[in-house]
Amino acid sequence: MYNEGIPICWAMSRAEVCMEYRRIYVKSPDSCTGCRMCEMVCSLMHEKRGVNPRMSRIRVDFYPEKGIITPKVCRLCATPACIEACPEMALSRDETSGVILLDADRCTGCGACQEACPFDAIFMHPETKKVISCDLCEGDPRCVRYCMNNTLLYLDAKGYKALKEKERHSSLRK
Amino acid sequence: MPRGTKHSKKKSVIPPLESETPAEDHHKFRGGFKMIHDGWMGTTLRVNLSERRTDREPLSQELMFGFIGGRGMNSKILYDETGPQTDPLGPENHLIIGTGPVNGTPMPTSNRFTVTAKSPLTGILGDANSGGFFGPELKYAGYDAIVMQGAAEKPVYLWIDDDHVEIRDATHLWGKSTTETERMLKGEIGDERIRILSIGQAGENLVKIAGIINDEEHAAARCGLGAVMGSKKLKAVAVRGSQTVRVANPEKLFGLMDEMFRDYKKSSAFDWYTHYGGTVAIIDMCKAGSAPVKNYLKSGGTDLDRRLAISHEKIFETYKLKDVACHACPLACDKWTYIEGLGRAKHPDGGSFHSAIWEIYDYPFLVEFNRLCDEYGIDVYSAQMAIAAAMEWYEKGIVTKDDTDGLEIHFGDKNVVRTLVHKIANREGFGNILAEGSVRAGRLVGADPDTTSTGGYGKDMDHGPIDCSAMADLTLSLSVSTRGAGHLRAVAPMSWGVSDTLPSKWQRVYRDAGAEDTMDKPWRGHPIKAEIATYFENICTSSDILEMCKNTTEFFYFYGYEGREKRDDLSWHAEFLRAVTGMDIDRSGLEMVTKRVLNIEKAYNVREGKLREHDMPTSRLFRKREGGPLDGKGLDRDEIERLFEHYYEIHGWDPSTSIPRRHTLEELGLTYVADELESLLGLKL
Repeated sequence: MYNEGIPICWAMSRAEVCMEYRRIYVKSPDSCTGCRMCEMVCSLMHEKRGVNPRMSRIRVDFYPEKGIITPKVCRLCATPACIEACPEMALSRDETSGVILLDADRCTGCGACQEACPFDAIFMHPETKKVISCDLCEGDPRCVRYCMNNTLLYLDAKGYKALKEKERHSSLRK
Repeated sequence: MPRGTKHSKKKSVIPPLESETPAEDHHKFRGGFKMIHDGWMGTTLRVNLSERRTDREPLSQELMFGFIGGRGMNSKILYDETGPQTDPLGPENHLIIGTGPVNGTPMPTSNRFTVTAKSPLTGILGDANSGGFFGPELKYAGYDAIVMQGAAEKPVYLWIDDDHVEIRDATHLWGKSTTETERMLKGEIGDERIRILSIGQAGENLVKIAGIINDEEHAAARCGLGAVMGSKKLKAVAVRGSQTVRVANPEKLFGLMDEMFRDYKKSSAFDWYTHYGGTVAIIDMCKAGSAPVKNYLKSGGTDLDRRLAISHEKIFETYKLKDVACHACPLACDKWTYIEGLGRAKHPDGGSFHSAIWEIYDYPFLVEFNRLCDEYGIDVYSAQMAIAAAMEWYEKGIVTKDDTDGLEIHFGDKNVVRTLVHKIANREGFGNILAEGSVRAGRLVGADPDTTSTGGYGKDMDHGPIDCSAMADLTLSLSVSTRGAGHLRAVAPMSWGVSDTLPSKWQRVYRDAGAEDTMDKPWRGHPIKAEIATYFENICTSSDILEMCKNTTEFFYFYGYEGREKRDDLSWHAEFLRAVTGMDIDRSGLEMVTKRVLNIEKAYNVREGKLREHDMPTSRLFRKREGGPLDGKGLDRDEIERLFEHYYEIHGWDPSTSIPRRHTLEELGLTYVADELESLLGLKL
């Protein structure tokens, strides 16, 4: 295996770059401040009139001792583990955008998809007890728009790669 | 409330107060129909700890529209339900935790909550507010406020999980620090994402400068409210919520947020404030002369060279810091700091940075002190002031080794500070005296009031480490505070020097008042300064009512930039209120509410017998400065008296006694308050 001996997080970050559908990227683990604005605008966007971070399709995780705060975002994987794991076949993928679609009638809220997701990025709605996942807000993700310090980026794989290369160059020059 | 009902159609922005009976009293709450509001959750949680009973009652329209939320709502409940006969540490005292209607929405910085009770430190109205995540979580659980009364027989904690409210045994938590309490509770309940507010050992031991700590590092510290919680044997409140805070007009809210973000970025402060946080003010304060040195024995700003060694720039170069934000805050002025031997800790910012008051200049020690206070649940400001005063008493021989359990309390001694914090928290030996707060402790040891120099001395409260001598508007703003003394109630940013130049907007104000010559003379007490203080008082009160942070308002660095005049903070607040609640309120309507809140708070203090003379600062504030940026300058007593008089006059309060006049109260719909004061004081208002 090519990733033998490489820490798992490395392998993941490599896999991430290969994700052709992924649109929302996290700039760096240093940049997120944990204000959870993304969670709130996400829930307001999808609940129409209500706000509760527990109803959002993005979650912020805190690791204070390591000095890391980072949002968990749906990667829109090429072969989504959530879809494979669903025993009710309630999940499917939109072929053009790659977003995970839910057949709400079939979802029993068993949580198998949550367990399968390697990125912890699929969630349960506390009231409906059905699965919720990122739908990219029809191309204008609110979480990205209201991320005050630009931790969240709306890019395609190519754009993200270009950005990282630019960063690498500028850090080498320094 | 749903839009289109009686209130929102009314033209008047001021809803009637006394004539109207709450319309939704008949609604059943458990298992029945619940009225749905936008913004407010519509429910107050009543907890009687003596009877171990919890009730949910509808939030009255009077509280909603007349006082809006947070500090306003709390003060009204406190005025109505406690009084001069209430013992602050008795079961009859109320402990009120209140949130505002915009809490929990994406409105920037809408994350705070206010804790209110009759203060054991001052015996008057006591409130303190705090950020973090607790306030919004309380809203998500479905409550606008928790009103607690009575006292439990043995330690308990309150567990709120949406509709499920339980008073649980906390014997195993008693004696534990605040972080330990949070860790244990999260383990016990089995959820890392619950939000907890708790007291440490200081609150348990009824230390009068004990605070309440939430989310490990945020504190509702002032006024000794931790002791009130301790007297009720309430160790903690844990909350989890899965309900939604409704927004009346999401599109408008999104639009306003776009606009406000653009507005922030226009401010020159945005870049460096988001980077450095509150610490950035320290050197500015030092240069302006408002940073205290050696318990005010030396003039403010005389230690610039020593402070530069721990300036914000030096600290950010030397130590690893991580920006952390409260709920919905785009600024992230909170920091985690990583210091060898201490691990992760909260970066002490703003006022808690003034260890120069003990003549100590050492960043890691400051972090340690700050953490120690958080663990014990002590108000950092009051602890700073009490220890600084003790140092002066020892130096002057007012207290000796015999009084201090053999401890030599010298300025500059870090170990003494550490030891005293431990002693205060556990009420051990000399710490038992300091635990009464600097002003009362001063009386106990027979010290000159000057040694606990503070504004509003008669209200038994120290105002935190700010040197107000030779600063007229600072002296006024800190002294008239309705919670004793404090810098978060009416201080204009330019008065304590958080900027080098006066913004053009304020230069114009001075010029229009014909007071150009006092513009750059902080020691002069021109009446216009009382008017400017009142302007900022409205901003502070409005922020407290909405429960949003003052750091993004004109109150701090975000003032005076191009375009700010077009829409001031009260207009912003009113716009957000309209978008979130759908209520019909504009700038003048909100200003009226802030006045109503301020008047009911003032009336509370008048009822407790605190009048104009209690607002006055100690005479050390009138001393002439020696050295520093304001060398040789001092306040003129007559000018200050006139400044206070003008301030009372603007508020419609009697200048000689500071008692609110009847017509002022009547205009604000507080006739019953006027009646009560008249019969109680036996005079015609």
